[in-house]
Amino acid sequence: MTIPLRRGSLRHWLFVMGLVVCELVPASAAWAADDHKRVLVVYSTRRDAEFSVIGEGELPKILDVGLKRDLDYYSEFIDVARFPDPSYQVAIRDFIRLKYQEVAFDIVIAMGDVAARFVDSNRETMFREIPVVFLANNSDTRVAGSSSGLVLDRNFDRTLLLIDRLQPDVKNVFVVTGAAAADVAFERLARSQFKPFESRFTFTYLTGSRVGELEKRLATLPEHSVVYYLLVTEDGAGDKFHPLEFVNRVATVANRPTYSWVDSAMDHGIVGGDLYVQVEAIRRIGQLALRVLHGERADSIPTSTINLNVAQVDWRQLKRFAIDEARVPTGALVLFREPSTWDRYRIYILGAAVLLLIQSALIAGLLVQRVRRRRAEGELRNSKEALRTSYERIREMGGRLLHAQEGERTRIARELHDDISQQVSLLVIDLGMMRSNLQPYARALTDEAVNRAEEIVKSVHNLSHRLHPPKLRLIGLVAALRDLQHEMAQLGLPITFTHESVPLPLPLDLTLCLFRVAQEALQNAHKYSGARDVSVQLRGGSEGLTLTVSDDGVGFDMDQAWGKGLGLISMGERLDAVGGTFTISSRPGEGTRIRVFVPLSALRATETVAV
Amino acid sequence: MTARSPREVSLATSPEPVRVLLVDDSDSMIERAAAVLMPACVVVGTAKNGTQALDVVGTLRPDVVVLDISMPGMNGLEVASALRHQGSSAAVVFLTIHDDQDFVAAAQEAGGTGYVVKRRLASDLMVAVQEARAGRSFVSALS
Repeated sequence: MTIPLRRGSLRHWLFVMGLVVCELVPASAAWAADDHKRVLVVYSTRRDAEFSVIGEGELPKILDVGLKRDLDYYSEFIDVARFPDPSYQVAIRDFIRLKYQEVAFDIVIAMGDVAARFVDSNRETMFREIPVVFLANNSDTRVAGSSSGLVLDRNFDRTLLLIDRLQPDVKNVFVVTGAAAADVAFERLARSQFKPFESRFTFTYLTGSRVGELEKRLATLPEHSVVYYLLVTEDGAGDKFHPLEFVNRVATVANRPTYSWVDSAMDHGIVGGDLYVQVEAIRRIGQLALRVLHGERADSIPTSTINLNVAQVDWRQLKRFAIDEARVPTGALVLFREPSTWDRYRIYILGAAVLLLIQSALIAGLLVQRVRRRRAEGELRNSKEALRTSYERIREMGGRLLHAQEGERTRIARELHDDISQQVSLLVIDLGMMRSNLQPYARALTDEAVNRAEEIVKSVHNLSHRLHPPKLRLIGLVAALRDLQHEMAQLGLPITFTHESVPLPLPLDLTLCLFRVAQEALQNAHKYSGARDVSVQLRGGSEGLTLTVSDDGVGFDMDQAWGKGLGLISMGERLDAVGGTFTISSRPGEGTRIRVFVPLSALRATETVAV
Repeated sequence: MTARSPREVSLATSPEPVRVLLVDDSDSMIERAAAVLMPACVVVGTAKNGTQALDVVGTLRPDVVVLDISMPGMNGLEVASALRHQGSSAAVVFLTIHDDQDFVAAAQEAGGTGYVVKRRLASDLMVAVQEARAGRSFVSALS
């Protein structure tokens, strides 16, 4: 394939050449060209140590996120605590060298003094020119070449301040450490840091005891004592222990509160302490490593000392040893607080309370409603009662009024008839008697006077009749109704009147009542109905007496008419008074029919009238 | 209760004047009736109400009872019926203010022989009484 050599294709040519070279050069050279970052982390602790576990969990994440490119992450663990023999370190060195002879690391991270020393002592042979960052406990720790580090300010003594705050009455501090070199180193550091506190506390160092003895001792500590757990990787008998598992033992058997210095001991039975937060150390060293991986020269970053302690207490242990929570200093973390019933069920309690409140409100509302309703019902009952009473009173009054009116009419009618008519009749008689003895002129005058007097008699008679037909009392209902028939005929309303089997004699009040009802009905028919055919029937039967007045007039709407006219009401009243009933059937355009019924019992009253 | 003292007047033209009992609650009316009847009739007694009349009628044995209808207590129609029930032989002439056919009918049914409306007392009463005495009916002209 011929490639024409043109301007601009030089770059392409160089690229192809580069590829060819890459294929030919040793693999180590190829590492440098790709984007992978290779990181080796060397721990001073066994793989399952808390620090290792946290580191392996956190560091790869921190680096991965910070790099934003592929990460080749390797880690090794130098377990000097369990393998203090120098040959172990030699073996480790050889193993690592062989293992990674083909890997060009971009950085080596040494976790802890042992690891830092390991890297430092193998700088030339294994880690030449590789930037190193380290995390040291000892401020003397250094790594040759391009390196930077963080020195942990290990403050065992700060936990003593917390003990003083939490348990002011404590006098004795029993310091527990193991027999391993690292353990002893911790004890040494602790002793030096505890010196200033010797006036406050009496320190007893239970160093390198056998487990059994130690446990016995711890179980019988005197009052006003605490246990300070430093580090036990090996006991006096040479038995190896996982330091955290040992914390459990110590805290479990000890009859006094156990404190410590590292946060990994939390949740292993200790009350707490001013604790070194290991995860924070991992984060810091991760950040430092990232700076270097991003191009900063490691030796340009000065090694710094950091303090990562945070006061922490285990709420359960406070309870176990009856330590007042109020004594926990501000800013200290209180962990493993068992949620109180309130904390645990707050939502439910609040929900239930709200529900209860709503329910109570509802119930209260309903009760109030009920009270109101009852009151209203009571008022309604009272007013109904009052209404009924007043209705009955009105009826009674109406009845009395009717009775009084009827009585008055009767009285006036009688007065007119028996007195005035009588007087005028006498006048007529006297004038008639005088007449024969008079001169013609005077006779003529007398005749005129007689005529006038007779007119008066007639008028008075008519007036009296209208007020209260004397016939009703003296002759009876049939005759009175017949008169009514004549009157209506004279008014232009012809009426068919029939009567049949009317029992005699009838009580006077009943006679009057039936007459008035008929009169009212006929007057209504005359005034309002426009009827052409009106009939009045009076019929006696085995049950009682029936009066029917019917017309073919315009009729009326019962609902509207009822209660409007006094006529219907007075009919009812009159009939009530004599023990009768009446029904009206009418519809607009269909005439009206009033049927009055008086039962036999009502016909047998004492006051009777003759035919 | 006793009847008013009878004012017996002998009738010159007739050896046996008609014996009349006047029953009315009005003294003036009794007076006028007596004045009209008197030469020919003997007013054997007067009564102011039905009960009184029934009390004295047996004793006075009138030929004719002149009876008002509208009276306090028993009315004239009832009195007439009662007289008949008592077995009285006296003829009844109603002297009343009721100028009405129904009353005439009622009066006849009650046993009345004559029916005189009061305003025609001067002209009709004597005739009615005499007719009644003779067993004949008389009814005033109604207006």
